[in-house]
Amino acid sequence: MSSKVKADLILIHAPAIYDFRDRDDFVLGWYASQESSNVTPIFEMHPLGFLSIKSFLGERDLDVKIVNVASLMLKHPTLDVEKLLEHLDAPVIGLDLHWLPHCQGSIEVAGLVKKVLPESFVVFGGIVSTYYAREMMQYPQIDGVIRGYDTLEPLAELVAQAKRGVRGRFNVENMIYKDKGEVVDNGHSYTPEVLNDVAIDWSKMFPKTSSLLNMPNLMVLPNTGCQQSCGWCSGSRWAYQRMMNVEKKTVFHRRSEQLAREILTFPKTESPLSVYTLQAYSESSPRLLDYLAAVSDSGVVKSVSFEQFRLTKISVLKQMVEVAPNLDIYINLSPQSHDVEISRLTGRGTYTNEEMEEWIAAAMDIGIKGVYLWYTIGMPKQTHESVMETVAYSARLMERFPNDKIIPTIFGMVPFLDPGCQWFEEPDQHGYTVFHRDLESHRQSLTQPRWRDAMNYETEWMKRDEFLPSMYEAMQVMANHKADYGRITRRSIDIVNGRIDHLRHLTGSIDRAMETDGRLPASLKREIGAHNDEILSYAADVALVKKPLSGRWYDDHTVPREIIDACVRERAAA
Amino acid sequence: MDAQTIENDEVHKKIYDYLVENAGVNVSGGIDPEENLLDSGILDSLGIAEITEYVEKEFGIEIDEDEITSQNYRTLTAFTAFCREKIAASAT
Repeated sequence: MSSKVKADLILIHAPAIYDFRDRDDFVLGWYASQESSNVTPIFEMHPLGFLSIKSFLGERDLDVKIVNVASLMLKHPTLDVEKLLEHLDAPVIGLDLHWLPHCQGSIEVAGLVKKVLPESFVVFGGIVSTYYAREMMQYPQIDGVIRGYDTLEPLAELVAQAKRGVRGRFNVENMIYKDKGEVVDNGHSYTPEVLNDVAIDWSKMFPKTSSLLNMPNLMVLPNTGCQQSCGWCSGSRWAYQRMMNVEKKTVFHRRSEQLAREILTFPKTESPLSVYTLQAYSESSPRLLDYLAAVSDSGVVKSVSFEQFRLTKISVLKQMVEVAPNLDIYINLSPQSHDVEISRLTGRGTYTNEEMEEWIAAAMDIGIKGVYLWYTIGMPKQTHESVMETVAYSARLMERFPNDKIIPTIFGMVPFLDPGCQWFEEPDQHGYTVFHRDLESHRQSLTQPRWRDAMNYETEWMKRDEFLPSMYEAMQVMANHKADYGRITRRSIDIVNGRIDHLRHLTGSIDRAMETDGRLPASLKREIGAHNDEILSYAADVALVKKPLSGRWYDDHTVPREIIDACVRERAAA
Repeated sequence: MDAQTIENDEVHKKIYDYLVENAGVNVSGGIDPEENLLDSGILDSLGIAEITEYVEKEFGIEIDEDEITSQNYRTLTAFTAFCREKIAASAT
């Protein structure tokens, strides 16, 4: 056997579905949410937290390596994953459920890990894992779950102990784990005031490439938790108070010094960086301005995007432009619906459409480069008619701002309502019906032929069967409006229309076949297989515009070529 | 005007027309040949992928990923020159 990938901790990012390469019985990407994105429907982008873990444990002299199995499988379709895992060597292997749509793939890959590396301790973490920690103990391939919004200290402790040879009775806060078959719960007492007290080192994250198609996008997370209690969000104040063992304080910030350190590691690349600032709505104005100034001073960033909960004060917008005159500043607003009553029910609705439009006009005058508006399908009191009114409102908005970069987007909250959020926990009170409650039923649902069986909820106002038709129509009409108002190209719109029509045809054919015969005919399976192969060969979602499946920060940069070659050969030979 | 110049003008015109039709921002005032297509937002990442596909089909050329650089795509003049070189190379 060729060389090994050795570390104290290996973090594995699995594909959303394992093994997606062999599946021709359901449509990959049926819940494609945008006209274009940088990932495929198997979500090969690993959690940002992997990078924090690598940096934090690295400062403790613990070697962490990230193996992106999802990206490797995409780039090397004949890769033998089991053989690849045999080349890994670490006392602890960490996996993520990431977004819950990852639960099928992560649990399957954990099973392979346990099969070929039985001595390694398999641990999970993250918000969804926190919620399902106890249930996860039923899977023989999962040894432990570390709960909480920040698991850096406990994970470092686990890895240090495992490295010393400890195999049971771990002294690790927040961990629930199995010791000789017995479930041991160490409680959930570690709730640090400061989030992720480390800086990610981005300097070595990008391969040497000059291709503009690999325009780097990176993300910065300045805080976790939230002051707001949006009913659909498991990162909300309401959810954190029930999941994270916290009460009054539900937002946890990183230290400004760490953010500044992180910004200094941004690499100088052929094309300037774009930075997406997650959860900026929980930042105070002074911190936001300091951050923006530091990004501007780095000299390597072209554009910065911010998420804002309320309409940012005009005086603050002015200061933002003043402290970063060389940056393109984009602001993301999520009203969820054009209907203010619905918007309020979602936990938003802090402004009317008229107020928002006046604010946009002022923001454009000040020099804000653009505003992204996010609308969601699956909200309380929202019918299909209301969805289409949101699309029509978006068109009017683009018409009002013909020369400005105002980009509305609509997508379905599919397939899942977040476990742990208020509507998941109190569905009846909010007009929701929840179909899958435990992790196992979510896992099984993701490989059902019919898309409706994957969805874990419906509302009083929109039943499961209505979601996809509504979503496809809304996306298609929205995309056509965007082409009318010059937001996307005419050529793109042909691709989007063709792609959605094809998805509509495939999902409809599956529904009819399952209803009539209870199984899929061979001809339809061939068609589904061809669709799945095609959509996975592009780093894009609905709009199949060719982009390379490499050169992104979430591609695998760990496994040496010789190991990949060996694993590809072995599967091909088999 | 010789045949080569006519061909070159056609390359320029097709690229110019494509950009005017498909720019990521409003270019109703036209596009200056030396305007920075990347900084101005005329070409974003999706636009770069699309115009690459367009010229590959339109001119029967193949562009490698490594050739999609800011040097080659920065301005209309630079991109036209790059495409002309590719057309000439594919003809030999």
